Amino acid sequence: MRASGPRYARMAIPLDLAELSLADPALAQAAALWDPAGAPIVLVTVVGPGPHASGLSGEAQDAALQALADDARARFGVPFQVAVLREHDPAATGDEALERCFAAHDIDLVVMRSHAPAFSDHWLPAHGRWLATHSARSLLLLR
Amino acid sequence: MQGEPSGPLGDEETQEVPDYSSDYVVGQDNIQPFGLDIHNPVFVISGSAIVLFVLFTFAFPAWAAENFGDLRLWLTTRLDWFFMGAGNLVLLFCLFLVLSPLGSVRIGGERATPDYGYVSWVAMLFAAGIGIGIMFYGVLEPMNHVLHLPLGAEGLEGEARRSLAMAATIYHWAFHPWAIYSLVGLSLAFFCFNKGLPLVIRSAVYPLFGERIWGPVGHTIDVLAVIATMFGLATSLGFGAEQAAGGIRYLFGIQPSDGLKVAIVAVITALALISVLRGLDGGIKVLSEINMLMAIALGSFILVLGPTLGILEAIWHNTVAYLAYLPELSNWIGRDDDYYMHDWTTFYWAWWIAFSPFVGMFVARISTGRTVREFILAAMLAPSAIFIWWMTTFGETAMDQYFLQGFAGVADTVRNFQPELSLFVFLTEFPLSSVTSVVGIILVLIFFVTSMDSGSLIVDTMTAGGKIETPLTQRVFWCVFLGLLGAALLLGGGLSSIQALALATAFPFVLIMLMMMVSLFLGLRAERVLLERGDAE
Repeated sequence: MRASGPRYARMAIPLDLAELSLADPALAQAAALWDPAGAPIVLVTVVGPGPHASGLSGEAQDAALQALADDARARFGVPFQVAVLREHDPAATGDEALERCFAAHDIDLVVMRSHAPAFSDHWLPAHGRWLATHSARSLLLLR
Repeated sequence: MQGEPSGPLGDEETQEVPDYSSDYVVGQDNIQPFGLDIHNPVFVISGSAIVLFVLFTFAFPAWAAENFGDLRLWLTTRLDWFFMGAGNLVLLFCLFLVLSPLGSVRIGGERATPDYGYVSWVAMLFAAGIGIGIMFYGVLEPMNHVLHLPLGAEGLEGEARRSLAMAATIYHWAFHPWAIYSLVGLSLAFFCFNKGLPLVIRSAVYPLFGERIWGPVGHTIDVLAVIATMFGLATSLGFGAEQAAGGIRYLFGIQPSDGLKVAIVAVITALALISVLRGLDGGIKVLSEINMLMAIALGSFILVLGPTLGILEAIWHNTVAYLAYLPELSNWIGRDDDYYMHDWTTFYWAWWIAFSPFVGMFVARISTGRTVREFILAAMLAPSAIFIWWMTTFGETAMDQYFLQGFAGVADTVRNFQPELSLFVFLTEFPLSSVTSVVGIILVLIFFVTSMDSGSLIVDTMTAGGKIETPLTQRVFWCVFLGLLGAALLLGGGLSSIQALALATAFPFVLIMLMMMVSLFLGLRAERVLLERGDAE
């Protein structure tokens, strides 16, 4: 059952490959807000060179995200597509890479899971806060 | 923990070839206090040890100065054979890899492509590593050696004297240090990007320790690497600020007060923070390229306005002299030139080795997509060629100033050991010396900024268990910590004591380097077999 109210045709969900098991709330919320005439929802992740905390590397990273997209499509009845962004220094440039990806897909709503602000977030913003203050897209943060 | 290296591959034939990959997942031992993502216990132990060592040095300055000074003296005088022998062995091992079939293994897998072109790559190698040496020693060292000739060859005169002085200078900056950095960088790059192990020093000896490397042995190795890097960078920063203040006094007549020195550290730290926030490509890479261009411009200025033909001829002659003297300079047996061999060669070797975890890890981080052969050849030949060109240009010109023009300014800075002044005194003999001196100061500044930025990046990775996707706050923390450490050592004294401790870490690191050679050989040999069977990625 989809919620009534505004629908979004081009949505994106940034995900941490090491925490794909925690993606369900964002997937469900995005599916509920998806416009049936819209484009597939973009599942996007940023990775750096070398081994990742997910234990995956190279093409296995793409495959893991694609598997999640396939599973989500089956469960929520909504099409998903994937984008793996490879950055030399994801800690520093990951947010900008996401914003470029959103622009490339003309995204109108970003749905993302976010943590409650921690001590370090007062010094440098977490991904959600960075996007909220730098991105032109609408942003839905889920906690 | 996940048992022994996952060697057995199935049938009897493949059981003999371990693949040296592990089920260990990067960051699996990390904890997340205050929104950080740090390795337990490497972050806490290394951070605490650094603070305690510095507090101890402040609390007992006389004891620290005497005993750590003795330690440094012991390292450079008694362990000459150890450091020089290890340096030679590493160089021979690198040459072996270049010539052997193992050199065809590609870092990052057979289909990997380089992330950076050669120019950017070499510029970053140079800026993060020992590039700053060209600013302080390009003029001073050749002049020093021509005044105090090594190898007991005091009787040499004329061209022969100058050739030996240049060969003795080039010897410290060419093949040996870059072979050391190549070994560490290559080992880390191979076990990280080919075998999927975390980007930390312990991964480079995985074949020898297996899964035990994720325990106390590995913690010890990584803590040592962090301490060596932090102390090495902080003391470089402190001494660099002192030297920069000396240069500013010479150029502008401003007295080098504590306030000025701390202000220099603060400016370098602030610029490094901006570079950190801009990331690897927007920060270090851009600054390295700017530095490379400025250095080329300054070097070309001297080449054109100096004795151009003489320098061009000398580049060839000095290269030949370097190669000819290489065996003699590399041999520690039967030598009586203690000043050169201990105060210069052994000190340099210990210093390069203490810096090898930092430079090696940074080299590894930017070096996927090249074969082992390309990696070693480029990492050894390109920086060596740059050093030969630079040292010849500045050294030969300075010697011309002294021997042919009777200008003793540079020689005086050597006699008084004032490396911070050599370049500026040297430049006064050229037109536009105020402009070129400012260019020199900017170059020094940028070299420090790139070193601090890359140092923060590497220390963060080391203390995050090899995790690259850490909160940027951590890198900012290490950058600020480095700046504070440098400033505290400047104000509280103890720069020499802490530098001696950084040097002392070279001793265990030689042992780790020897283990790295064995590990890398085993890893590459196994990789070759797996590639031939089509089992490797």
